[in-house]
Amino acid sequence: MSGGSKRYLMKAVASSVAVTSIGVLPLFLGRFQVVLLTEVIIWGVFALSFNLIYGYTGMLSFGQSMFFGAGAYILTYGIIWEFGLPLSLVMVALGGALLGLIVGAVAVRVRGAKFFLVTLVGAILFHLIALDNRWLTGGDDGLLVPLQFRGITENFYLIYGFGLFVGLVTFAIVKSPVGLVFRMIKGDRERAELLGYWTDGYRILSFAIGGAIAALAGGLYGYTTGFVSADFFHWSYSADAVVWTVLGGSGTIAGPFVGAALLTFIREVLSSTWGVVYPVLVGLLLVGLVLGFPDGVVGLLGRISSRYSDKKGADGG
Amino acid sequence: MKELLVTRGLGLEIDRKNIIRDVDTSLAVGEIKGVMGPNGAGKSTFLRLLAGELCPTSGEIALRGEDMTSKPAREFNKSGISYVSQRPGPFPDLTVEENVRGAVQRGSLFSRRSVRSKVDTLVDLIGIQAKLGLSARELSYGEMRTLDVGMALASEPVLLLADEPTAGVSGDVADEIITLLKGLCRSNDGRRFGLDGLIFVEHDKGTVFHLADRVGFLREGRFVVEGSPEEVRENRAVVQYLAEHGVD
Repeated sequence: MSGGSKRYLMKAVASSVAVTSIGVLPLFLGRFQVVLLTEVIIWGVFALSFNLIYGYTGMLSFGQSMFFGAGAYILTYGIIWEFGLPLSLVMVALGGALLGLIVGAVAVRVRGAKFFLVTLVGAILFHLIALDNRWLTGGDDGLLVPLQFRGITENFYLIYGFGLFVGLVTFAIVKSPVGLVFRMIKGDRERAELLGYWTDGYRILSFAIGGAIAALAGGLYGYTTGFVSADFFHWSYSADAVVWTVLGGSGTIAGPFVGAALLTFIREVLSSTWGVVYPVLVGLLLVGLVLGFPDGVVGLLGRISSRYSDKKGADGG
Repeated sequence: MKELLVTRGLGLEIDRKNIIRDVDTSLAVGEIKGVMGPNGAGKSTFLRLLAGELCPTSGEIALRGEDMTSKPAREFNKSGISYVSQRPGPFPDLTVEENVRGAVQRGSLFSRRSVRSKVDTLVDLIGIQAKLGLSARELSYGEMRTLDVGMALASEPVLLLADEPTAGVSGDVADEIITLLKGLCRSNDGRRFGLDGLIFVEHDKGTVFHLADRVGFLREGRFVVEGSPEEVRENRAVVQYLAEHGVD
């Protein structure tokens, strides 16, 4: 077996073991930990939406909270208007994709730092509009999601299934011909254009897919908490997605989930003891990782594993 | 003779400085044209205009009679113009196979079989089979340049523009690249990836006079002389330039 195939197989085995282990964790955890784990999966899905736009297509967007908030409200109104959960989730994905198309079409017109600013301003604008239109959003007070909660464990498996589905779909997309174009654009957009690709079109498409995934995360979060408010649009949600992705490893499927899990874990451990230390520690962790290990935790683990397998190969023969 | 490419009054002005001035030139079907000239003469800029990477401020470019002047770069590629830039162009984080596939799949995004067959043919042509699984950043400079040429051929262009395709590579690899380019232009058997024309910029005068049917000497953004290699060699400006650069 070639080195590449061996590494691929190792990755597949490690991913399967990790996914299965998470699936059986509720059997051994308390109720609070299961709620936390559910939240981590939702945040992982949300960060994955940013990862598709940034880690695979190379666009540093701060606009993911727009889709997150929109998804939460579409789901809420879907439930209020009695469409049922499955149909409401389809509406959430379609609504997120449509919003992604619109936001993407505007954002790709600008380059570099301006791109980042346009998406950030977009997120702030959406938050302000949501705060002002209380008749629609409930403002700060928000709205209740009128759906009977299924129970903590059942809800976990719903979110777990969704996380798995979204992860697999994203994996299929990045490995597809379209995903290859995304990665080419990240590498060198002008070069991809010279090879005949309408790169702006692909960047908008990346926004649309990322928008659909972020909206689903928002919808699922609203469903899990039973409450949505204008704060779901706050730009700090976008910042969280950036931090989780960079920490876990951008350009990988597992990275956003690992980043979300790690920071949620640190926050929970520290919040009860040294709550003030948490942001400082996260800041230091990020600076250290970006300087020392720009590929994040998953990249670091991958490097260690390939060094180990190379060493083993050399020792063996 | 039927014209493949024609430029009329082509010019580019940046910050009130004329980089390319009023260039009228043409390339006939089946012709190889070499562009030479001192540093800063505008050779690379001229190719970037022809590739659509830069937009001219005056004049026009026509490929097989079709006006290309105001079209975006991707339309140049779709119309049959491909470009090998001066800096190595493979996507460093992608594997060699992904680089070739990415260049090949445009236009047949979801036709896996057709893309596969084209990738195989192209990989055979440029002789890079053994490196397919490596990431492009792991290639030697010469291998990157060969991959560049392969990727430029992927869209099956009619006209290839190559900016110093052999610069910085060892003699053997440079010969291989030159032989490959010459073979693609000279074959009339309708082979896949055959070219109708080639325009290349090259510092190595030996390569220019050996490979080109016609040579243009560019100075200060303008062709001072254009003609057969023999005619250009005898031009006073060229003689002086060659003498300054130690070429007989």
